Amino acid sequence: MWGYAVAFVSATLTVLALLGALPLLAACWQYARIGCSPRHCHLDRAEPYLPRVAVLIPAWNEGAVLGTSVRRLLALDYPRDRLRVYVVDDASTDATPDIARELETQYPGSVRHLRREQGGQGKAHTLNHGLAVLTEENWARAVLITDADVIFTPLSLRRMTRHLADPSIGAVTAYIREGTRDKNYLNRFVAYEYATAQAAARRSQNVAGALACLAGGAQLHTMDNITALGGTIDTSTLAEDTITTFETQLNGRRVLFEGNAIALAEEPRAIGGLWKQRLRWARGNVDVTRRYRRLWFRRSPDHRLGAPMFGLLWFCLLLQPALMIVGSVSMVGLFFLAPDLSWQVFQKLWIVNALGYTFITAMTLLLDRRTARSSWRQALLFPGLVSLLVIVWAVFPPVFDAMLGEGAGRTGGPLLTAVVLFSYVWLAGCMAVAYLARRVENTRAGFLAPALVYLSGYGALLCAVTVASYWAHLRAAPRTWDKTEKVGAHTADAAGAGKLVSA
Amino acid sequence: MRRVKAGGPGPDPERGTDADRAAVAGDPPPPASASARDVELHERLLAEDLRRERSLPWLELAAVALVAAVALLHVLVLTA
Repeated sequence: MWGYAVAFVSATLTVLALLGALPLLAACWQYARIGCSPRHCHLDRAEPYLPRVAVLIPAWNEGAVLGTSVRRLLALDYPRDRLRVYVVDDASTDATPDIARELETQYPGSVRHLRREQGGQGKAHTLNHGLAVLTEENWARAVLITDADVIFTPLSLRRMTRHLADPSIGAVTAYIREGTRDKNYLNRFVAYEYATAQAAARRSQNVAGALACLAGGAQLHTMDNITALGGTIDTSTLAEDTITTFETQLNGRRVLFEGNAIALAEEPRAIGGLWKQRLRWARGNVDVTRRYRRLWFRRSPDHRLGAPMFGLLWFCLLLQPALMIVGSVSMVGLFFLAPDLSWQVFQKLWIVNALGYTFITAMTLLLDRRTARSSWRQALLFPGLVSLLVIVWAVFPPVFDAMLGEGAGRTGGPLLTAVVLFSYVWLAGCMAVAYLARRVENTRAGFLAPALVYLSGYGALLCAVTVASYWAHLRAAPRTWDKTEKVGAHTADAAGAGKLVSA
Repeated sequence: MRRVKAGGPGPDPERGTDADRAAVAGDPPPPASASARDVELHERLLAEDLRRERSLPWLELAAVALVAAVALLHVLVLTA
């Protein structure tokens, strides 16, 4: 009887531990579809279509970046008489209104300054102020929603508008690259992350026919699409970009990622800023998950958002930290119940991790060689130094066996037991170390923060943010719009980035 | 030469044509076609981007080959 119970519990723990590989397998499946991108990137239906475009820039205290962004927009290779920039000043208290007025004077007819006297409600409210004006003016055929820190490469708008000639397309989004001039370690991690999450994942979503999110800083909508959305952006969540993306597709219009249209954005240089930004995104994702709870895993003839794989990818992203914790606890339980089985499971799990990591890293670096040149170290260390060592151990056991003086059996001396247990706990423990990096950043031990991120991995840092979003959701923390501070550290090489390149 | 569109996918019966709306907005009517430079630039960008997109399956093949190499190395190390 006892034997059966042990076998049952061991089998359950094994399954739970193996579930930890699900997000990586789903990501690999997503990457495997990138090869089909040429048939789904919509270039075969692109036309030299140059509609009148209104660029909408929500701006709250963006004095440091606004001037550069607007001038770059007006320098785009796009007919000047078909381009207008609307700066929606959200009751800024810095130099933003002065700069916007100066731009309006300098570029009469091309720049408009719209002022909200009651501000601070968030980006969606600010956008809606601008959209109301655009609807009233009835001039624009398309709206480019962007952020004050985003710099578009010269030919990017043409690359986006060419798809709008097809009336089935509701919106097109560009590839936003990390564009900070003097990148620190965190900027380089973000640069690689954007290559995976945009250049790679969104191409795959083009193939799947369902896009999860238009980049908030580079989304071009047809006016018809905006009208179909009710002429406004949803203001009830922190994920207005995702809601707009979903609603567009639910209305029967396609949303497209144009990976060859590049925009550059300034991203946080410190963990605190990144944490604030990502917590807002993660909380938005929780809201979206609840809002569309009747949509997941339900196929529809009108859209692909209910496709099983789309749902699986969405939930893998959302539940990855939970799966890591469950996997870790299961491995520790299995270690005490059936040590040899636990090692076998662990090894299989990490061999899958190693192969998936190799595939995804190689593909991403090949896909965006400019990012690869600047961020290859961060790409290799994305899972963290400790996890990388565990991967080497699992794939090439003799390397560590020689060091630990043990054979293939995992029931050796106390040192090996400690190392094995540590690596099981690390599956979830890496998130705690990543969280520690955030905690120490602004203390005297702040110099340790980068080392802790390299140790735990940038992926673990993102998972820790997701855990924080669960916690914020559980305690019903208020949804405040914590804007990411921008200081104007853009690269001046927008023209060069436009020529780029492999995507 | 590809078909040239500059006025949009077609008039919306409820909102009128581009020209109607331009008149309402007090702007000159939109051009009937993109300029020769626009068309030429479009063709050039299209060719460049299509070439890039068509290289993706080969990049994927290279990544898969690397994965196969790691797997092979793993087997060789274990059987050595």
